[in-house]
Amino acid sequence: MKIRKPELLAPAGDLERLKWAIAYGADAVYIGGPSLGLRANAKNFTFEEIKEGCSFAHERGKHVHVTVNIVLHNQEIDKVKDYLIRLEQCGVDAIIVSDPAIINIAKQYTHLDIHLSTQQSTLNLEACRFFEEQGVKRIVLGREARKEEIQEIIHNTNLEIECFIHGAMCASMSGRCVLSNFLTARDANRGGCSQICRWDFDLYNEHNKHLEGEQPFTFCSKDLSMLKYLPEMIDMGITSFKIEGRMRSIYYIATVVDVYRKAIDEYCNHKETYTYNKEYEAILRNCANRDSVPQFFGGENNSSCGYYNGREEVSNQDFLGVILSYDEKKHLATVEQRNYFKVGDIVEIFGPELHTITCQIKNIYDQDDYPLDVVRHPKEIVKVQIDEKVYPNNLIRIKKD
Amino acid sequence: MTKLMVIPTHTNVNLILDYADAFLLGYTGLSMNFVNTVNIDEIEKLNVILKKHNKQLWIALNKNFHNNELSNVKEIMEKLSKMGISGILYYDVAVLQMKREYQIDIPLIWGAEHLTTNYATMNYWHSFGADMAYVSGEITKKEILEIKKNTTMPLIVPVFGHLPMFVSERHEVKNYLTHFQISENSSIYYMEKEGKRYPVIDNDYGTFVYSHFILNGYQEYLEFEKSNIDYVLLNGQLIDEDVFASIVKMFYQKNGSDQAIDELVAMPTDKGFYYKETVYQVKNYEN
Repeated sequence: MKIRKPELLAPAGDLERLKWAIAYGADAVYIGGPSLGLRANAKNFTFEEIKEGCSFAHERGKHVHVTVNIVLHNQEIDKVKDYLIRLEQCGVDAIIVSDPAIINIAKQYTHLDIHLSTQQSTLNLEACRFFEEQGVKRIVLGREARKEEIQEIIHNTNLEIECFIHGAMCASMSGRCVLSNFLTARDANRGGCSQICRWDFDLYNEHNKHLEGEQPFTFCSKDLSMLKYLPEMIDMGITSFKIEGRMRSIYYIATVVDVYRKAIDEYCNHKETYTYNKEYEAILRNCANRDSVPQFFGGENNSSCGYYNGREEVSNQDFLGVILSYDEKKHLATVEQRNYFKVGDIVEIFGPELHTITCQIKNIYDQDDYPLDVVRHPKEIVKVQIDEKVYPNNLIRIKKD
Repeated sequence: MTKLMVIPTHTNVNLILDYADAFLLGYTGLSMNFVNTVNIDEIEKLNVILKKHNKQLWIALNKNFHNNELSNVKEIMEKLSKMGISGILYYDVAVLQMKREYQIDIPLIWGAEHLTTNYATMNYWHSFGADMAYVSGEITKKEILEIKKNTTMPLIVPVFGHLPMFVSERHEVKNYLTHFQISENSSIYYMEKEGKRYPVIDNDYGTFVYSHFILNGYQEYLEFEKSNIDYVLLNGQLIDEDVFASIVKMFYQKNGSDQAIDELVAMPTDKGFYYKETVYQVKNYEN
């Protein structure tokens, strides 16, 4: 039995990531424009790039949402109207808004769909009803929303409901943290969050006793992963499944989108035979290099969600290379290196055209066809023997047990 | 004349009754960033006392509400309306929506903490029935005065006390203590970085962190008054009750100074963001 598929919504920090996200199966992407967004340190898009991104997406039947989720200060008010008009002219499908003053401006001067940002921390039916009456089409619910309330909101409104399914979590309620403002003078609600929640602190009790565990005190949370709850979320009728991470790498975006695309398709196309794929869980864990748990949806808000590792996170070396082309006669893939690999490595090759291929690297050649044992240099172009057909922009990662 | 609104140190208001014009208290279970809270019976008694002295009583229902809390919130709103208190401070738009939907006759303060930063949004909520706005503690004095010029909505501006920095439904301290099997049950904790100590409360409703300093806006209060700011807010939470009473009295009598307040509180004080703009880094590509 086939069932309705939710939208898979991916982050894209720039035009390149937008194309990768769509190529790997995203139904829509969300991006930051040149202004008024909440990721000041992401590259973000120029208007020209937004236009190109919208054309690229629309030609493939996909959508582009632009974050306009800044909490306005006086000096930004007069800029909003022209900015929204330009976004509409670029072909943007929807804006993601946090400050309600922008809702009125958008309604008055554009026909853009309005999505309410998670920064509003909307968790209940009455708040949803208010925004629905004001013309909001979709609400990105607060990350603290539990299963039962999401269901109730879906049943009792005509709103589209968007929920996060994967990525980093704020330790606070969205919009209610200004640690960054106080400790670094960077405005958390205007794009400058410096992630103080991941800092270490010394903790004391009321009698000035130092409370010291094996690792220092921190607010740092594990990432969110809703893979286990995916069937339940699909059955609930949630409109859009959102992946966090506009500042993440191409490899991260491709990997996470690929896993969720496959899981959603497998469930929606063959619900009766669907089984939870533990291998997907491992792929997600490895690609982020951070633990991830379901958190609030199923009521698991406890010490298991805290991340007490002293911030000793090592950079991910799993991503070995990008396939640029494939010679079907010689079974040779031209590959651009991203991390060290060698003859004998067991690797996985994945992409939108493929079920994941697992193989051992038997032969590697340089561009002059001299054999190589190892590929050490970043962005080095080499040829790798791969027996099964692969496609441009497929990715190679090390196979982990 | 600018009125003095206070969040008392404790729910007992006797020490400051003569000096404050309005009292703001949290409701047990339905408020965030209120260390001491009251229930409906306590409000009823307090309301009688305050009315007798011609003082205002505002109750904060400023949680982000989950669905299963809505019926209780509605019931409390109706009781508070019948009681004739001055009104409710809210964060979650559900409160405004229920006032509209169920025609609950009660004034509202839009008090969305860090989101109350500009006059357009103030005017937006004013048009839907919010009567006053509690201005964010993270904007400059210049911005506050600009808001005042561009809205007809009465404003409440923070001038004294610890400022709220962080609200979470997570039990950040308790989870840490549980994870590392540390037996501890403080009513208040402190987290320290670079010599600054931030008060942390981890209670039944989550985790709350406050500024390491006490905002001292005495001098600015005098300027706000000249600019017809409607209310200033003095937050007495986590401050000695007698000290806070002296400070409220000083504001009331206008016979103080920044220095006098610094000496009274004997804790780090600061001007907060009155003169400090926060950084907004998104570059403007104009192409």
